[in-house]
Amino acid sequence: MAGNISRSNDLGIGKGILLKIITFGSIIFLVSPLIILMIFSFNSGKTVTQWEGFSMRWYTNIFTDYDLWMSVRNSFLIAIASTALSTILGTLAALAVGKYAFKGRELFQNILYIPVILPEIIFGISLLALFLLIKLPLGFISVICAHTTFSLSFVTLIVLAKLANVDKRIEEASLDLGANRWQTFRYVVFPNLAPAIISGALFAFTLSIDDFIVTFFTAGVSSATLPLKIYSLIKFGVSPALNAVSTILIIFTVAALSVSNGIQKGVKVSKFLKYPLLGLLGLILIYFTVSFFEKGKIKNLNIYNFSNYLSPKVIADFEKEYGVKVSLNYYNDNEELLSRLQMGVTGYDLIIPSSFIVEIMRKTGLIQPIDTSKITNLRYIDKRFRNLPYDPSGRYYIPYAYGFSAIVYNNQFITDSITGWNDMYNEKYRSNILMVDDMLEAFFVGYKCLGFVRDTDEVKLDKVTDLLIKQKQLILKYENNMAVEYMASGDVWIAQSWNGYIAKILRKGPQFKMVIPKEGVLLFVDNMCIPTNAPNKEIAEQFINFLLRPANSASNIETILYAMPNPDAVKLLADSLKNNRVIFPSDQMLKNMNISKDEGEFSKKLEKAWTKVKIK
Amino acid sequence: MLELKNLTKTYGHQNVVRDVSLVIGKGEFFCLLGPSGCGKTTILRMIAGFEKVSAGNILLDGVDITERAPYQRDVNTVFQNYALFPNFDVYDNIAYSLMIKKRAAEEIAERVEKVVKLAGLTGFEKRMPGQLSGGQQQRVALARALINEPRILLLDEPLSALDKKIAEQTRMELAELQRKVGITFVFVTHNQVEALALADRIAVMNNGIIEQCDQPREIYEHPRSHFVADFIGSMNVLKGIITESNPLITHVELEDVGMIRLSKSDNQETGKPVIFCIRPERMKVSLIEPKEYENSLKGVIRSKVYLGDVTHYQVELHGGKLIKVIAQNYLLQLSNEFYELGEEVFINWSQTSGELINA
Repeated sequence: MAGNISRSNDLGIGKGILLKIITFGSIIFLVSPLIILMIFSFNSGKTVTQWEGFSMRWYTNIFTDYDLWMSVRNSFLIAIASTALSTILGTLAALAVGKYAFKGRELFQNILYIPVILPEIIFGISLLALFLLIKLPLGFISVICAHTTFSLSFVTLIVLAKLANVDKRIEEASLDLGANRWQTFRYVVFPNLAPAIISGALFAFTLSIDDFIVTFFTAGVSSATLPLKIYSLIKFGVSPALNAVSTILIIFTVAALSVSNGIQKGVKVSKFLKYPLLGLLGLILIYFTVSFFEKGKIKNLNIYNFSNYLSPKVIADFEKEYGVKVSLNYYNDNEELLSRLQMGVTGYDLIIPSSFIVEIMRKTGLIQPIDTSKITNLRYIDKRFRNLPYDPSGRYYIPYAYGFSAIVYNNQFITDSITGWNDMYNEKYRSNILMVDDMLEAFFVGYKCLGFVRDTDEVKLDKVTDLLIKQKQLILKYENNMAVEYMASGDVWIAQSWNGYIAKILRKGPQFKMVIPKEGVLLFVDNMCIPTNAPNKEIAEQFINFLLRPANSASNIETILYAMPNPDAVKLLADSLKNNRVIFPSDQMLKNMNISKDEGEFSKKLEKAWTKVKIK
Repeated sequence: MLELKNLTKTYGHQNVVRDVSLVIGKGEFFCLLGPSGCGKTTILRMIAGFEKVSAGNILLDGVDITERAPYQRDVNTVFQNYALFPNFDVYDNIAYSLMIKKRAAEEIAERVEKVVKLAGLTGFEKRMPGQLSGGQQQRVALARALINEPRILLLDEPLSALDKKIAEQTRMELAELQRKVGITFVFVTHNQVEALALADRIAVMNNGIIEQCDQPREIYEHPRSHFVADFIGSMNVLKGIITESNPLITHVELEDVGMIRLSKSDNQETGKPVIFCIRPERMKVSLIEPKEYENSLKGVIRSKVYLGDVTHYQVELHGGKLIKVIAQNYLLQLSNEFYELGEEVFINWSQTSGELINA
């Protein structure tokens, strides 16, 4: 048949030059991003936009990243379990729908299409709602259930399509020749459906490995999959390590799909290959299962944090000293953390929210007071960071790290003097300006530009909103994580960014300059808090206490490049680091800094205004 | 011996098979003939066990098998589209039932070889079903069903998927095969030529009932219902009333046509409405007045189709009725009789020809 279809016809259709151009254009459009991504995974430099030479360092890097491998393990474990379940259930469903007439069959068949048609995000939210309702703890089981649910439909539809092509009489023929129903299934029905079943299984497997959205909603403590891990890494900029991970994932997916297609077309796996392959699969399965149950035996601490925001060395030391297994889970921004806790996701022992989020969580009962009598090392904390306005009692948080956003610019493009926020909005810099994508930061800048004091006056708010809309026409975009790449490539001349990023940008060359705006900056403080339903509160408190030891805090600062309010720890740092004004603002600077806080009722108005800015 | 007792099959409110009773003898080549939807295939499927019986019984050699599963019946089927297992080659297809019964490999090999020879499939053992022609697939299906030496072999339109030449050849092989193996064949077809050619007995079915069950010659020559008369071959059918009946002769007054005489008589009642049937080849077109033992009608030739061996005429009677007449061309040539369209002719036939059927 294939020969007939691909045969060129006599009408000249498909021979035009235009069609060829469109075809090749489409193919190039389709694959070029992937190819570029793969090429840059071999970049020796740190950016994904500038080629600096060939290197395998990112592959070495990811192969030694324990967290990454844990997420790969999780992905495989979930994929194997959900594939097995969805293949068995999907095949049975296809047999029921394809072979028997029963009440509600049409309805059932239509329901099968729901996961295929429904936007994944709705599917994810509805599953989350269900799991919370039936009190199924979010974790491996919930993700496996979720993946099974959508894979099931694909398996069923694939098997159903094959079933329609299999002559129903062959079953009767088998029964007629003396085979009972089981033998008929075993020798006739199954072998004829097998290509579709295997192909459905591989499809389910790839769907599960690749899924992000549904997993995002249904994953809980320490069940983060590889796509979730990749997403959390973006927080710290797109590094070639991501390209390397993605390259491996792409190769794996393409390989799985080719095998699936091959099987559907009837390519037979030779026996010499089949048994080693099955054996390998079995070993992997056994390893994953054993390691999964091993984990349940020991004491656990589940930390929910930004990624790369906690030193692995500190964690390893803590694990050794206390005999605890630490599991890390990642979120991308404060809103994500807040929404997950609000949705009722449980299992986390320690979270790292920013200042105003602490206030919301405290008021809504999402976090519980910390037993400060057990945190003996609290004495090392800078007093100025205790009893901050978002929790005057000081019982709900222990300050973790702090930072601010400031201006960074490239003096190769900008020769004017830059001293304050207003200087960023110069017509000459049109489309070369980058601002952080954060409502509180944006309005902070807006109010400062107009010289207003922040209050709840709506006339002022309207004026600030109008200004932001006007400014938005000049800027390239609101973006949080790509400042380093944009500045390095020269696409952005001047940016508002967080000091951690600015430190990285300054390392790129002497042309980059930081400016602390004269109007002041917004200080953020990230804090350690314990959720109300934390399963291991004591261990969390032990960890906080451990981290506050000056030696451990110093070690942590060296990794995360953000300041911790622990003067004794700072003393232990190398001079080059402790004198770095980008990381450690001077006391004078600290005095002028504003702390972001919960806006209460006014925040609804702010949100409305922010939406107005974003859609313009 | 296969016995069907008051067999009935109902789908919802629709009776597909209605109270059918039949006895099929051992070694008989029995044919169920009828138009599509008449219930013949349903009967076959009930015998095989693929359809539940709504009422009645099926007895095989005196044992009631009505409730048995298909795999518990000593009956095998050749399906219309053969239903070969696409995942097995020819050898494994044929060996399937023995493999299921876990027979020894040597026994299987021996018996497969035997039926392969019988079906003329030597050399094709390693082919997959997809690599076979229709005729070859049909033979595999036969071999697969026969290897068990079942007491009854059911054949569901086995020749309908073949083109005409191969179907005719296979028909002959099938008849020969049945004589060789001596197994009872129950053959379902809508093709009367196949039925007449193959069957020892034919059951003509319509609307879920058996209209007539007889030897092929009886069915053709002496149809006992309007349906059978119409369905088998070509037939002139005329309505009439018996006006006189005695042991020697019966007079029938045909509607819009006139009076005819039949020399055979079953002592019919005077005044009874009947249907007179006569085959076109039993009549002849002529310019000559009828003889005294002949019936005769007058009409005009309205159509004439030359078919080589025969010519088909349609003659319009004075009352407006059209009568089909088939003439052997060699006879026309011998007597040098050729008729043209519009010519006024006699249609003559012997008083011994034709059948009376109750209206």
